[in-house]
Formats: sequence, structure tokens, C-alpha cells
Amino acid sequence: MRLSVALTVLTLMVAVLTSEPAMADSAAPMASALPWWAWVLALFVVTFILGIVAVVAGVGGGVLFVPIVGALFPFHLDFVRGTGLLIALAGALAAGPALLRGGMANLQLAMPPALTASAAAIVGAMLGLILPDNVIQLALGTMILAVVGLMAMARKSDNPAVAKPDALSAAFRMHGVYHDPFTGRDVEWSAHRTPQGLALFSFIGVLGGMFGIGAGWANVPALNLVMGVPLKISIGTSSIILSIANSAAAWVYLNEGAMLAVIAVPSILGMMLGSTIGVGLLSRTNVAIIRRVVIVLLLLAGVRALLKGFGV
Amino acid sequence: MQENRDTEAATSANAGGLQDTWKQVRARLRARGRLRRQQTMRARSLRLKYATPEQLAYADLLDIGSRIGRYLLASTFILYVLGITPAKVPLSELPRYWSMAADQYSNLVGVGTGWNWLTLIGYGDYLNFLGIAFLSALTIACYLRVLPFSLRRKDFASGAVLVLEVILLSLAASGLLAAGH
Repeated sequence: MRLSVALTVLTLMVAVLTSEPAMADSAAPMASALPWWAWVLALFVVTFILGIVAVVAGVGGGVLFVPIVGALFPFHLDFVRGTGLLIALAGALAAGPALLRGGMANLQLAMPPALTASAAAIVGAMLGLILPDNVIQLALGTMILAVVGLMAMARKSDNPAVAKPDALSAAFRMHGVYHDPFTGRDVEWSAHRTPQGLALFSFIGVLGGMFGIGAGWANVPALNLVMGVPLKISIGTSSIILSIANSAAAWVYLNEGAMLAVIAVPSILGMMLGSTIGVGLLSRTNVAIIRRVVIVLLLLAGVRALLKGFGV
Repeated sequence: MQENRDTEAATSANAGGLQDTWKQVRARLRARGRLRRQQTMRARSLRLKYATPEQLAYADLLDIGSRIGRYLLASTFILYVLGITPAKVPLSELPRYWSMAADQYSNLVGVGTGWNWLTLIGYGDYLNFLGIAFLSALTIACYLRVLPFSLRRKDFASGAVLVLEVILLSLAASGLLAAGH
């Protein structure tokens, strides 16, 4: 099983490296050698694999989808980014109810960051649809490489110490208690450095809206390391923030026609099915190795996006 | 005469037997319902230890809404791909267009921006937008659902955040924020 997951990831790596450049910057209609259904089928298979890999590697589907599908498929980056947003949105909406009911996500904690992130995501989405394709490719490449750096080096803190909640976090009642099933005890938590956290969420929102990559990779460290929220609550609440911020950006993409059902729906279904399989594989796979392979895969996709931005 | 009496007795005995069975079934169903209600209340009171009532209300609406949205997305896509609803751009021609920028594609198809896609809802490729719009609008509904909780609690800071978010999402949904290459 371990071998099969590693092989599929390696196949993806080779495909990213050897694929023909996407027709992202073409202005005129271009015919494709393959019929539409072959592309849709291939898209479903790739997103299915990405769904498995995303769960096993512990990253969001959108962050893998946009650079990899952008590199492998002939779809314009506008449609790829619109679909990436929808994938992240559908995943976050599906996970939300269980997280909120189980107390692993906190609505009060999510609301203020979601407000700044969604305002910024609207700006990011508009910028993404205004800027020229090569600029977007360059920015996407740079950002993917930054994500790789963050994934490789980020620290984590299970239960950060918060000496004193700040005035904002107290006003917004950003505190609570959650049950840790591993230790079997209830953990009380509160947040601090809220203004810094909100500023960071504005930046994250712009990136999420501009590239349609979801933003769990940035939301979690912002909540955990900056605002002092326990890791488990950070992961759960990140999903709620993502669902709200992505809703805002999705409207911009939808109203600008930057969504094609034939790309979006098979991708969402493939990713959801892959994620379901991935959850089953989680206990039988070497997560550390898969995570390293994903880092290399994203590194290649990031370099490729940079090269495309430079017209290479 | 005797035969008729026997038949009546048998019928009433049968009816009595049926009534007994029905009473037993009803009692069992009631007991099961009672047990389920108790379990639900126990689970809810346990949840309330870790989640506020508004958080649970938000989760319940989100749960129902995201299910409806996913079904809507999948069913409209099946109608589209099977050709049950006509497509504005035939599927076979799509590979010629999906490498174009979104605004070029919209101009070519003649959709325009904002909610203009609603005028093409009869076409399979735009019927799919209903599911996407539904999922995107879900947060607005969830926020409106929890707003009364904040107001009842006189938590005006959270109430203000909720109202601002609803305004922001409605503005994004309105299509007034135009972009395009």
C-alpha cells in the first residue's frame, strides 16, 4: 500500500516535469487533440490521487490542485483557480459541522479572522482576475515555493501558553475548552496577539483569493503560533475560516464567469472520493515520507509556474 | 345462523389480536423514540460543554445546506453531461475554449458578468452554477441564523462582526465588484 501511494506520487512528479506547457496564456481558441471526456476523466483520476495524497500528507486539496492541475492540464489558470477555491470550499463546508459540534472548531474564534480574511479574499480574487497571466504565474510560483518552505520548516505547538488574553480577544470571547481524546482531559484555551493575527489573516486572505489555493497551510500557523490557540482547535477553526473566506472569493469568480462546471464538478468529486480513501490509508502509510514527496512535488510545480511566468 | 356467529366471533378475535399486536408495536416504537430522544439530549448536553448553542445551530444549518449543495451540484452535472439539458457551449467544443481567459470566454459565449448567468439557467453548463451559488451563499444563511443568539446575549461586538460579514458576503454575491483581465 505504501509503495502504491509512493508510486502514484512519483508518477505525478514525472508528469509535472514532462507535461506540455498549459495553454494558459493563449488568446485565441485552441483545439485539443483529446476529446473533452478524456480530459474530464484524466482530471477526475488526477484529483482522486491528489485527494488521497492531500489527506495522507496533511495538506489542503486546493494547495495541491492549483499548481499541479495548472501544470498538467490545458485549462486557463482562471478556471483552475476558480475550481481550486470551490474544492477548498466544498471540503471545508463538509468538515465544518462535525468540527463545530465536537468542539474541535470554535465559531467565536473564527468570526473576526474570517471577516478580515474574506474582505481580503475579495480583493485578492479581483486582483487575480485583473493581473496579466505571466504575473499571476510568477506570483503563484513564488507563493508555492514559500508554502514549501513553510511546510518544511514550520514549528508546531500543541498547547501554547497564553499569559493574558488581549482586549480584542476578550471582547470577541475568543476562548473555550476542548476535550483531548488522547490525554482524556479537558483543555482550557484563550487567544492573544489578536491585532497581529488579524493583520496576518488579511494577507493570507489576499493570497487565498488570488490563487484559489485555500489557506489552511497559513491559517493554522497564524492561529497556533501567533494567536496562541491550541493546535487541534487551530486546525478545526482554520477550516471554518476557510469556508467563510472562500465563499466571498468564490462569488467573485462565479460572477466573472471564471468557473466551468466540466472542470469544477469532476474535480470536487474526485478530490472528495480520494480524501475518503486517503483517510483509510492514513494509518497504513508512512506519512513523513509522503509529506516529503509532496514537498518535492510542490517544489517542482512552483518552479514550473515560475518558468511559465518567465515565458520558458 | 350459527355459521355467521362463528365468523363474527373469529373476526372480533382477529381484530382483538390485531389490536394487541398494534398496541405492542406502538409501545415499542414509543419506547424506542423515548430512548432516541434521551440519547440525543444526552449527546447535545455533552456537546454544549464544548460548543455554544449558536455554534450547534450554525453546525446544523451548515450540515443540511452543504448536503443540499452537493446533491444540487452532482444532479445538475449529471443532467448536463448526459445531455438532458441543452448546453450553451456543446461539450465537444469546450476543449477549444477552456484555455481562454474567463472574460474572453464570457464575452464569446455572451454571458457578461454578475448575475447574467441566471438568464442562461436553462442551459446545462449554467444550471450547474446553481449548486455553486448555493454553496457560496450558505455562510450568509448560517450567519443570519446565529445573529439572534448574539443579540439576545447583548454581545454587540460579535453581532457587529456577524452583520459586517453578511454585508461583505452580500456585496461579493451582488456582482457589483467587477474584475476581469
